[in-house]
Amino acid sequence: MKIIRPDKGEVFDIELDEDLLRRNQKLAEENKKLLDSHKILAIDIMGSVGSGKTSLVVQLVKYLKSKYRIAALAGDTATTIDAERIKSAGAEVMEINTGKECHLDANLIKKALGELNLDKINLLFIENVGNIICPADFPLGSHKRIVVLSLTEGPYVVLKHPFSFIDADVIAINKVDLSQATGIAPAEFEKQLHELKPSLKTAHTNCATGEGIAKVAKALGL
Amino acid sequence: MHEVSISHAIADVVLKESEKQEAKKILLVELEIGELSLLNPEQVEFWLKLAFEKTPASEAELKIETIKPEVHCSACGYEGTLEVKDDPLSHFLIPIFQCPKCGSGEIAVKRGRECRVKKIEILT
Repeated sequence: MKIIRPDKGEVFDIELDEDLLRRNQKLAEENKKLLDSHKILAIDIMGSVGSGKTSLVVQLVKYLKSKYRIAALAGDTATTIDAERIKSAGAEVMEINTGKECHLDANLIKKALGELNLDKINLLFIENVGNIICPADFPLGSHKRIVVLSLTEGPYVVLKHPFSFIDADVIAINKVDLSQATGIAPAEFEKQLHELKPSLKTAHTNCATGEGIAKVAKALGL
Repeated sequence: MHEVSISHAIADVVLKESEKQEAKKILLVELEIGELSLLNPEQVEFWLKLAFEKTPASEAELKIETIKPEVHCSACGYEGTLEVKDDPLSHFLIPIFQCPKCGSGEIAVKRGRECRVKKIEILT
């Protein structure tokens, strides 16, 4: 092939068209294909620090373990505390420690999938690092997303972080037992969420007791 | 959020290409940042300028174009932009995530999530 190159001293335009976020998106698409080929449904869980993500996964595992063969990936900067909690509920678990990174990415999931026996499971939960900003730019290859939104995060979290909810399918409005203490009505969150994305399904939960878990499972089609 | 690491990745792409082309200087770097990404163009500019210090791109002009969201609706076939909610509390227009034509939630984002190095202009 003939290549035209600039002479010395010439100004030259180079069309690069290189999308840096697309690299992660492509890996996410590969992960999804791998999961599909093993007929595994993957659900990722996003939410603020302390919103109740692990408690939600623990309750979902308890509720669904007789119906599905479940594995979970627990993402955290450090420790295996979350993984131990989910394991004791009855799922195969792998911890992903990100070190200082504030989100999981498709490459970490690809590595984890390589370690799991994918023929043994048909449902995978992927719990992201506690953070509702950074993970939003890094799809992982899951089929559905649930965001855990708890009443203790204050009344403005939906208004302040609209982009964190647009890729979600289901929102678990958690810690509904603290409605009186926080002065926040779960219905107010629902109204704000539906203004943003009318197709969002919501469920009121108390993940400490398991209240509302059946509704979450139903909303996820499980 | 990831402005620092993404800016370094941008600088990497730009400087590698200019090295390949044996450029003396990089005059212009054009970027596209989607409005649905959680990248703040002003912060990208700040970090990128730092990453370009003491490189052939140290005096490069930066042009950052923000890309409006465009979706495809699998229910009715609509292709185009989303309606936005102009909330005085927000610093940006918040898109309403449903098909503006038929109201379906079955929409896929076609544009608006990118962080793309569109082109560079070099002096050889």
